[in-house]
Parts: sequence; structure tokens; C-alpha cells
Amino acid sequence: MPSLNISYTTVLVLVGLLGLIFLFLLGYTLWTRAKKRYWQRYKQRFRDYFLPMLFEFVEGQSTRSDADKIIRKLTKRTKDLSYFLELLDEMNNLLKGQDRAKLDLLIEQELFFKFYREKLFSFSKQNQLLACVYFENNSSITDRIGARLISISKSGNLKLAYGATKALQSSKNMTIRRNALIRFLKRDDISDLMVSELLHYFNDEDCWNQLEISQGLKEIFFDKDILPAKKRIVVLYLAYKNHFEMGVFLLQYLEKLQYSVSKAPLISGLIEALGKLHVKEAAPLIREYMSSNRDNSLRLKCVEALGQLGGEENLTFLAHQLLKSDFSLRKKIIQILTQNTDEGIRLINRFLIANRKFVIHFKQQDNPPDELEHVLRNIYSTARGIQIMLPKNRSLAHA
Amino acid sequence: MDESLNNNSVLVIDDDEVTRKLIQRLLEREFKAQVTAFGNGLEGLEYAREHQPTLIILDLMLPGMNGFDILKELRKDRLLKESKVILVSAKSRSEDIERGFDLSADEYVTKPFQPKEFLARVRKLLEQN
Repeated sequence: MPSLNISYTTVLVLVGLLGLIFLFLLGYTLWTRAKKRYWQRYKQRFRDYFLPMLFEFVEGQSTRSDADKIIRKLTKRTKDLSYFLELLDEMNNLLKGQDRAKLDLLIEQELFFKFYREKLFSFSKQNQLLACVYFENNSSITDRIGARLISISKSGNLKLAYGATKALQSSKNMTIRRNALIRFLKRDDISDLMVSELLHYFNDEDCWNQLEISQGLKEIFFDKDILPAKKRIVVLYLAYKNHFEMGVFLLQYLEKLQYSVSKAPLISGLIEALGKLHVKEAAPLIREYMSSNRDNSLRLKCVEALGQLGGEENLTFLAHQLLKSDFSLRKKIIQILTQNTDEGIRLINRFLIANRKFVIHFKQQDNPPDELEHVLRNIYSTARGIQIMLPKNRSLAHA
Repeated sequence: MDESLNNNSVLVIDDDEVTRKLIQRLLEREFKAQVTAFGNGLEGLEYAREHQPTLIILDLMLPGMNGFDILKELRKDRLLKESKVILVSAKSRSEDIERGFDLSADEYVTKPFQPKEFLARVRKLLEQN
């Protein structure tokens, strides 16, 4: 067995060294904790001091000189400036209208503008990011700052590019805003949430009318470098924001699209949007997709859209699809027919009468063909579904 | 000065400090109400059960227990049936508003809001009382 030739002194030195490292780490941890607690207390005191002042500023007939008075109470320390802007940002998200507009008198102060302009032109990515957040809330973007933000928005760093693109959405120039949005949408590393948020920033109804916004968004559809999944979000956003003037354009766009697996989400989004925007002219194309496509999620969107479009032709088409569809589609069709209109109830009644005759005829046969068993099961399942979904005040004897 | 909330208590449950303080300040000044605020839903619920406030202002997005669940719990309590509930949230989707009313919320305010508009809604609600 090999002997351990470590002298007693070496062991002592090692233990001492480890002890020192342990004490250093312990001291460092305690010190950082104390420092963190100090800044937390400081931040709370800072907020308690400035928040009532800001509330009064927003509620009163405030002028630029009132804003200057508040700013004079601020020290020029970086921490104070960032805490103050954090507070302004929170209030910015909470208030709207004239109260929100008053905050601009504070946000656009020369002190902050200079401070963040320097950060924007610095090399530190963290500083650039902070500056982007500031310029997101400051609509007075000069040409030089605009150019810098555009160059940052092309950065390979996603966070920075996103921050700069958001900041560019506060520009008063529609072309700059639109180009920044399109440039960002071309990236392949962005999330759906980022797209929705940017659209929300782009859709600034205080500055632009609905037509200008939709014209700006149209460009996105012509760009081949933007993925269909991203275009789908834009389509759904247009429907959610009731851009009725885009209905015909979206229909023409759908007509030009050839179905493929990669384009299926976009087609599904377009069908959903056309239903929500009540584009009645879209009904024949949606019915065609419903009849010819095997993608169940797409067919479900077709059913929803036809239900939203309503009308005798669409509801009759849906009623005819009852026995051809699987359970989830059948459920949706029954839901639409029972809850939609008197027309829907009439169609259900007709469906039940016609199928009742079939069931009676089937039962009278001595040796019914096996393949009809499946049809019979579908009829029973549909009838049960109708019974469940029918509003309590309506009843159908045949169900 | 509106006296309808005078000597009555108001409970504000919102995890956002600025919203909490703004609402507290508005109600104290406008209605001279006694306002208690919590950033946590469970604490707020406990307080409501003990003190039965006249008006409860409830945020939807809360850590732990969301506003809808708190509203459900509030409506189960017979003692709190008379309390008026205003939901405050950044959610403005119609489904959320509908769900809030289905759970018998009395009013729905979406963020961002204007203080004057908020006070007008509170006043209208109290006048119905």
C-alpha cells in the first residue's frame, strides 16, 4: 500500500486556505445581500417620495414648468434616473388619454434625452437596450437617433433588435415604422408573442387612422421572406382589431394561395379572419376548402367561419356535412345549428325526419348490410348531440 | 364631494403597486372611503370574509389565485353578496369580460384607464346601490 507523504504543515496550509476562501465567500454573500436590501429599501423610499408627486402631476392642470420642478428634485445619479423612468413606464402602462399624454412632459425632458442618447451610442449592449426602452416611450426621435435605432434593429442579438424595433414604432414616420416591422418579421428566431406585441405597437390609433395602419400591414403579405406562420398572426390581428376594410384583400389573398402543409396555418388563419370580418363573398371558397380538404383543424375553422357568416346556403351546407364529419366537426356543426338561428333549428328538424325514416327502414330489414351499421351509429351520435346541445326552451320530438 | 362611500370600506386587490396606490388615492380623495389594499389574492380574500367591504376592486392577473377564482369564492359567501365587485385588468378580450359578468362582477375596467372614467364607473355603481 502506497504511503501518503503529505506533511502536517501542508495539511494546515490547505485547511487554512480553504477556511479563508470559505470566509471570503461568506463575507461576499452577506455583503451582496446587505447591498441588495439597501437598494430595495432605497428604491421603495424613492417610489414613496415620487409616486404621490407624479399622481398630482397627472391629475392637475400640469405644465412644462411643473415637470421641470419635479425633475429638479431628482439627483443625476444613474440609479435615480432609471428608478424614475421605471415609475414613469409603469404609469404609462396604467393611464391613457390626456392623463397619459401629460407624462410625455416628463419623459421627453432634456435630462433623460441626453442621458439615454449617450447610452444608445455606447458599445455596451445593456446600455443600448435601456436606451431602446426609453425611446420606445419618447416620440421625439431625431434623424440621428432614428438611424442608430435602425442599425441596432438589424443586430444579430434578438433582444437588442426587438428593443430597437419597438422603439422605432414610436417614430412619427409611417415608412420607418413599417420597414422596421417588416425587417423584424423576416427573422427566423422570433416568437409569436413578439409579433403580436409589435403589431400592437404598430397599431397606434392615436397617431394613425385605421386605413393607414391596414395599408402598412398589407406590405407584409407581399414579402416572400416572411414565414406563413408569422403572416397568420398578422391576419388574426387584423380580424381581432376589426379591420373590416381588409376583408376583400384577405379574400383575394386566400384565393391566390395554393394549399400546402407549410401554408396550412396561414390558410386556416385567413378562413378564421374572413369569418370574423363577415366577408360573405368568401363563403364559396370556404365551402370548397371544407369539402376538399382532409386537414381536420382547417375544416373546423371552415365550420366556425361558415357559422359566423350564417345564411341559409351556408347552414344547409353544414347540415349536409353532419354525417360526413367526424365527432369534433359534428359537435361544432350541431353547436352552430342549434345556437345560431331558427333556420338552424329548421335544418336540424329536417335532418332528423329524413334520418328517422332511414333508421325505421334499416330496422325492418332482416339482414341489414354491415356497412350501414357505421351510418346508423353516426345518426344516433348526431341525434344524441342535438339533444344535448338544443337550448332548453326549444324541443324537437324527433330528437 | 361624493358621500356614498363615506364610512364604508373598500378593498383593493392588485399585485401592481402603482395601480393599487392610484386607486387607493382616488377613492380616498373622491369618496373619503376607508381603503385597504393587498397585493395578494388570498390575503385579500381573507380580509373580505372578515370585514365584508362595500366595494371590492379586483385585478384578474394575480399570483397564486387569479381574479376569477377569487370572484367565485366571494360570490359563494352569503355575507359578501351585497358587496359590489369591479374587475380591473389589462385583459380586454370580450371573453374575459363576459366571463367576469357571468361570475356576477358588477363592473369591468380595462387597463390602461383614465382616473376620471374609473371614478365615474365607481360612482355609477354606487348609485345603483
